[in-house]
Amino acid sequence: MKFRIQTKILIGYILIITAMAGVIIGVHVGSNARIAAARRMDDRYREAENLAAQLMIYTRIGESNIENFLVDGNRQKLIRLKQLQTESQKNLNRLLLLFPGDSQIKTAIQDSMESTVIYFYAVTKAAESGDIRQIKEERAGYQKQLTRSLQSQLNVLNNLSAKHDKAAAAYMALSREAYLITLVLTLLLALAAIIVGLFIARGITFSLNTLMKSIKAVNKGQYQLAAKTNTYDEFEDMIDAFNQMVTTIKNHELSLEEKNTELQAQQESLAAQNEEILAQQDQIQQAFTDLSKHEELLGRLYRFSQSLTETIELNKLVQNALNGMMKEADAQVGSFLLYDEDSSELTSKMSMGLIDSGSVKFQLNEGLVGRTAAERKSLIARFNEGQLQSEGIRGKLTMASEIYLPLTSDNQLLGVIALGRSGKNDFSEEEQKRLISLADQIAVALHNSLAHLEIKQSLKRVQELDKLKSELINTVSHELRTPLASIYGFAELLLKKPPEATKAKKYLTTIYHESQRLGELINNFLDLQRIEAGRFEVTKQPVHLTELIQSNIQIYQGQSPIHTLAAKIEPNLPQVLTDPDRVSQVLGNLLSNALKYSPAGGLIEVRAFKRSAAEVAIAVYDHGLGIPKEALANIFHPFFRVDNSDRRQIGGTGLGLAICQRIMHTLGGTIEVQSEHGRGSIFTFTIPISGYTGS
Amino acid sequence: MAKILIVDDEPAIRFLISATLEDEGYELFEAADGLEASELIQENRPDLVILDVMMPGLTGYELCSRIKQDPVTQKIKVIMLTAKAQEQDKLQSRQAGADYYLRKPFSPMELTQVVADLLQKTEQ
Repeated sequence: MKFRIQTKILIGYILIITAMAGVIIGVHVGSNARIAAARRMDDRYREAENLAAQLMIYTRIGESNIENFLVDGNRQKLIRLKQLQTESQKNLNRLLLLFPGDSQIKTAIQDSMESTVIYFYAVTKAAESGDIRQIKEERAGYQKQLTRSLQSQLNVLNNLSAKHDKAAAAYMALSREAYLITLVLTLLLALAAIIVGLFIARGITFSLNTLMKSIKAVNKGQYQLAAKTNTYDEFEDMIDAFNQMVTTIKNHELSLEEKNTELQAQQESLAAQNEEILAQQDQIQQAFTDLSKHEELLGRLYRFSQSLTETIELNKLVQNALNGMMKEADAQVGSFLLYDEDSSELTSKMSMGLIDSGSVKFQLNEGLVGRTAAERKSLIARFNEGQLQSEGIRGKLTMASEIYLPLTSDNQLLGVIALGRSGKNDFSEEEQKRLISLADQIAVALHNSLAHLEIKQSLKRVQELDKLKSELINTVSHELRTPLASIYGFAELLLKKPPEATKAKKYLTTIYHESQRLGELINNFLDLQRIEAGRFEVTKQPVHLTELIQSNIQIYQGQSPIHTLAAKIEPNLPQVLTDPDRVSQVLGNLLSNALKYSPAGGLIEVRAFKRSAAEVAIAVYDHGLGIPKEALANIFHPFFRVDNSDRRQIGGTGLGLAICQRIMHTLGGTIEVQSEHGRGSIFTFTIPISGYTGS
Repeated sequence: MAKILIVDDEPAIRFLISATLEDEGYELFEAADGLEASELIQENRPDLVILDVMMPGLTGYELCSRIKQDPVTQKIKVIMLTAKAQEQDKLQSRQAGADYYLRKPFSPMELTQVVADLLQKTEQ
């Protein structure tokens, strides 16, 4: 069973109000009768006092009215007198009624008023009858009694006043008493109410304190349950609820703690992950920096290689490459050397800052350039102040770091780039790598450029050959048609217009010579074709050149007695391994030409000598027409003939020298000409002693 | 008597043409190259020139053009002789203003006929 606080307070107040009502009712019931009696007495004496006072006034007014009537005769005043008489009678009756038991005062009142009332009545009566004299008499009679009457009236009034004062005082005293009693009782009840309130408040405070203690404890983090108060009220509920709440909070806190621990663990693992991420980020940043460096480098390399690939022309490529490399290597000295496979030599194509002006040559394995070329591996060198730079390229530097880079493409050595820079700053590993990679690009471009050059040259050769071929056909056609025209023409003349015998013989002789010329021409032409087609057979054997020369001189001297032929042969001329028939053909051709173009009596000399350890030379000297300078370059071309009408008189196919040159080439020798226009010519051909054949 | 100039660097051809025309009643001259021919044209005013194309110095075409462009000589008839193989020779001859074109080897009978025809035209 619970007592709600509201109920408690309600009960308290009901008790107090009931007590208060009881007390007030008690007091009233006790004192009211007395007070009421006192009040009635007071009222009665007050009324009596008033009535007595009125009667005195009526007396005076009536007298004065009578007096005035007598003066002016106004009857109106008599009417007023009658009213006053009635009023006075009424007042008197009332007054007498107020004191039914007090005869003393009744008598005093009757006495005081009796004469006056009678007087008024008599006057009134007299007035009604109009008997003024009567009135005057009455008045005169009354005058004697008036003072006494008024005196007694005053006495009555004073008596009544005194009695009224007494009654009023008694009433007042009673009233005050009752008021005081009520006040005291009220105060007592108020005190009781306060005590009840305090009691209830104490109960509430107790509960609140109990709760507060727990709340403070909870606040401090001690989950302490509030004690049971057994007050059976809302506070108990509240404490129960509070305790429940504390338990819940405690449980929550426990779970929160668990969660917190869990979260802390998570946080720790997150922190670890974060650190890892940061480390990775650092790595990425590093990688990025490296990458952008690489990118820049790649961009530069790309532009460089682009500029190289765009350059197909060899000189420009070499210039671009060397400039680019020197810039890249920060070099002041540089040389771009090209390798020639045939001579196994490296020749500088372009150089900068070298002591040697002009081109520099290195054999394979010679110096640092040669070593780089032979090993096909880049090489780093340095020389310090005072050291001689005899090994490598000789730059105008007193001390330098040098790098030698081979240029290889498809396993084929194309050249070497040598770079030198002043100071002690050696080429780093990275720099070396970069330069090697650039050199590789240059090698590719160089390969392309060389291939391009080769293609261009061979294309030009093909075009030249094509042009030569069509020229050749033209020339052959011309050369064949000219003798044919003579043969055909004279034959027709002989057939259609037979001339006389001497003329006919002349015609036939011409036909004969021109036929011979035609035959010779065809033979030479076929020889040339065979040689050029590589179907030219050579049979080599040891040959004594002295004998061969002597026999040829004998033959040609026999053909042309008008010339002088002589031989000047070095003693102990070595034997050579060659084809004697072909050598005879060449020598014979040269002698035949010499005879053709030399004036009668001209000396023709054949000289033979050992020109070097490897070859013997045979030279044919004549003192004939000689060859103009501009024609010398073409003298060995097929069908080339020096354009001069004098020479045209001298027959010839224009193929002899061409054939000689090709024969000598086949035999591994050479043929050359020296000539002065108008003074004569020297044709020299060489034969290798060892019998080496070129192809 | 009509004058004919024979120009060829080959002696055998000059001999052939002379032999062909010698009994036809013409006055014949010979020249071995273009320059010599030029001089002879100025000196002798031939009515007809037989001109080889391929000659050292001045070529046949050049000489023909000269003859045909010079108002004094432009009436001279020109027969071109060529040993070349190409068709363009004919065109070149025509462009140079030649009146006739013969390819080596040629028929002496045809040449005789052509010369006669051309000279007849000149007379008319």
